[in-house]
Amino acid sequence: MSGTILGNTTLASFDAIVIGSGAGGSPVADVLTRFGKKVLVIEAGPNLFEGLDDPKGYTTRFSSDEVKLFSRGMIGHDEYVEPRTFRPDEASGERTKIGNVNGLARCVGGAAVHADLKMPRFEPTDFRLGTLLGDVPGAAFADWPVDYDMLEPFYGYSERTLGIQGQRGSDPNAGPMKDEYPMPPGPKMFVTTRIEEGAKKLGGVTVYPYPTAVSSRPYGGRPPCVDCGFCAGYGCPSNAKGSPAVSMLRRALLSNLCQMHTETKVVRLVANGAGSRIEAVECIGPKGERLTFRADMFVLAASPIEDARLLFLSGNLGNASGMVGRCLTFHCQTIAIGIFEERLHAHRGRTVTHGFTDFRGKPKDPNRPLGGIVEISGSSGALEESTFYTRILRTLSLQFDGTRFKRLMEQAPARERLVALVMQAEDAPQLTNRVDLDPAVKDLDGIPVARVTYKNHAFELGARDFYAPKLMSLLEKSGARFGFVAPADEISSSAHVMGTLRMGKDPKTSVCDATGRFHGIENLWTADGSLFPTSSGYNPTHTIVALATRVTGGMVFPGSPERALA
Amino acid sequence: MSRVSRRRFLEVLGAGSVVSSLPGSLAGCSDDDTEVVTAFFTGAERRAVNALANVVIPKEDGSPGGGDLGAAAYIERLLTAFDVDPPALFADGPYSGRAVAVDGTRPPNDFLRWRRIDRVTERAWRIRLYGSKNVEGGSLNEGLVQEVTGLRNLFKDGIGAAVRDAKAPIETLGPEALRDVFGGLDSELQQAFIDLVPQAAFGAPEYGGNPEGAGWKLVRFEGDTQPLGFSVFDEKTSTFHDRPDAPMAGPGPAVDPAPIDPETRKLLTAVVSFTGGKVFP
Repeated sequence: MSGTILGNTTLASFDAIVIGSGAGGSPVADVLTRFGKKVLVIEAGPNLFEGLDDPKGYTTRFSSDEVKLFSRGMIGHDEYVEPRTFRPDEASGERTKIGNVNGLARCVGGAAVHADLKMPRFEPTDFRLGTLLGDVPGAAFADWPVDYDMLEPFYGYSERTLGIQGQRGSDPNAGPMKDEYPMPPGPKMFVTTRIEEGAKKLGGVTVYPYPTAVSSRPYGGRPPCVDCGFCAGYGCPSNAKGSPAVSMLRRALLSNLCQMHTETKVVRLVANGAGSRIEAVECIGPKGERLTFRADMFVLAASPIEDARLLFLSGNLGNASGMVGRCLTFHCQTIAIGIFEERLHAHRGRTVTHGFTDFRGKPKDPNRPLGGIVEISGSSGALEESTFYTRILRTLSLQFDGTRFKRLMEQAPARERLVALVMQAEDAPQLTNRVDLDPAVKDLDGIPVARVTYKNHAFELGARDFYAPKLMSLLEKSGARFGFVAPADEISSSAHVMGTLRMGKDPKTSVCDATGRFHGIENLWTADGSLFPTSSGYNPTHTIVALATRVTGGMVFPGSPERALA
Repeated sequence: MSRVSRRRFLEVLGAGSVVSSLPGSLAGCSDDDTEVVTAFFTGAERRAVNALANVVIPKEDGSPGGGDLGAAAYIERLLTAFDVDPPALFADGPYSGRAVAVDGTRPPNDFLRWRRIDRVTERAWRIRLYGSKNVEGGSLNEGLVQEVTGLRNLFKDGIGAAVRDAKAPIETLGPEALRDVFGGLDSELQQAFIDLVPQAAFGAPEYGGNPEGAGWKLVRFEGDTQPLGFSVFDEKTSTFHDRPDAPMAGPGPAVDPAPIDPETRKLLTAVVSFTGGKVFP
């Protein structure tokens, strides 16, 4: 293993360059190398998997360390040197905030490394909301050019390759699933037991084990999860998490056909004069040096905001439709927090072991409007907990009440007694919700940063208003003493970032076609959540992995992407 | 790689007595004195920081305060992070050695090493610690963002002034007088204390605070428990079982060691009222 370059360091020419090593980039590298292509992966962040390219094995450098990963943000986007900007709408001026705006993890493996890897599939109807919802004023719902049946084999492949635990048939609202999950569900967190009791009293809610890419048995050379409690926001010290990096990217690196440059940021795609073919990428390397790499094929998988940013930095590339950067979506998270008298120790466990999909709803059903999956979520470690109290105490009084702070830490309502029901409601895609380049703000290298313009639509705010009281009822029936719905964020704190390069059949209203290739650019594809025309009401990572695998299968076997699953 | 000897580690902590220790919490330390931990504060400033930390987490009879929980050592370690290479910012992993694996083996303490950082992270943290004007390339987006003061200047200037202006050594002041001194600090420095004292108290001890897990013991938090965790897998039966001392799937202790008291209840009621929530009957 060398410093910032992994894999076959002798490779000097490449068939394909993949920008990003996360949930999209890892399957791309894997599929391409499995079918004999020489691949260069370029990753802006550092590598915390020592030996990821070593056949003898690897060690993660992640740990259950709140200082490193929570307080000091080791793998986050830094708000000073790599800021983004935000405004709710154009009328608000050039920007209302400079700093951390929807930053995902910045490291080999991307956000899939630090997430708790919840991996539900989308539902069949999620792919057809343009047709099923019709015109929604102010929104731009559209059908996907692929459907659930086309993705089903890729979902199955992802489940087997990553090692996803779950129980087929346990979710009454799920789409058809050909094969059982490769592993059964792991142990249930105690908070789930209380919420299940409440669900039985409430009715209409079926709690089921959340499909998760966390081993519940020895799998793929990785041990079962020990439920250490440091899951969401932390990489896995014991490698029980089957993130695409450790399953797919590692396989690519061991193939001898892959080279990965880390701490290297792509700042421009170089196209031919007509803008119809990409010739090279220009980068800034680990020491700030300028680098250029060439290949025949190029795949964007740097996450939606950075993908769009790169295209704008490259001279508004691929934007004949005017759709690059548009229809950015998150999930409007409705977070109902319950605090019990009883100690629930929800800081132990995988953050989420169970959930329910009954609040996902159905299109145009007034009794069950479209919301999202609900995660029965645990609490946090002591440091993160402490920030909850310090914020409240500072809000209540200018003079900090240290005695009360100490009592709160000892009694631990936000750690020992808390459960959060988190609904991941679908955001309506809007043309005005977009990414572009900030006209003035730059990063440490003098590169214009991404600007996010975002305001929620009545569609998801209505879902929030509809389901929030039901979440509160569930908390009450589960035995909570205090219940409240966290105020909505102006800037979404969701790590589910989708859209900006939506796929579609019509080049006038989409950026990429059904294969993930850019309309009008013969050798550029996208293979991450940027492709999503709509956001659904489910965690997106599994669909990102499945779609990226399909896109890459189509690169290798045009017209027959399923051949990549062999 | 940098390693800290057990003796030097405790010297740097410089805190008061430690209430108790977790078994094996310093496992993996060697007796080689190979790391230099730079002093940033004068003795008087260090004592003042620990005393003012008691405003954030008060010292009480039989119960440690912020000073006892290593505030000055943690803050000093952070402020001098770039005096060592790799900088003392991010401890390595995956394990601390505080917990054993299910087969009884204890991994070494990887937290004793500092992780190498990339150029982007280095610039960011130099700005945070030294201030945007004192770092080459630190004044990004001038006129659009506020200048960053730098934690080193914030503490040196603020604590230095507090020590000079105090009528008596700050560490000799009673709780009321300490609160007055704290209230007279620059608001940014007050916020820095409110952010950093809990980090010292409840973060991994390798960062300089939470001596031998005293902060975790105070709040009954298990800290890092890998590789053991809370669900123990039995390969023979392919089942998991809870740890009897710290269940994950099962209920908590029959007797609550620190139930919610009336003041906490009032505070939670205020939060609920502010957010339009409910107190359920």
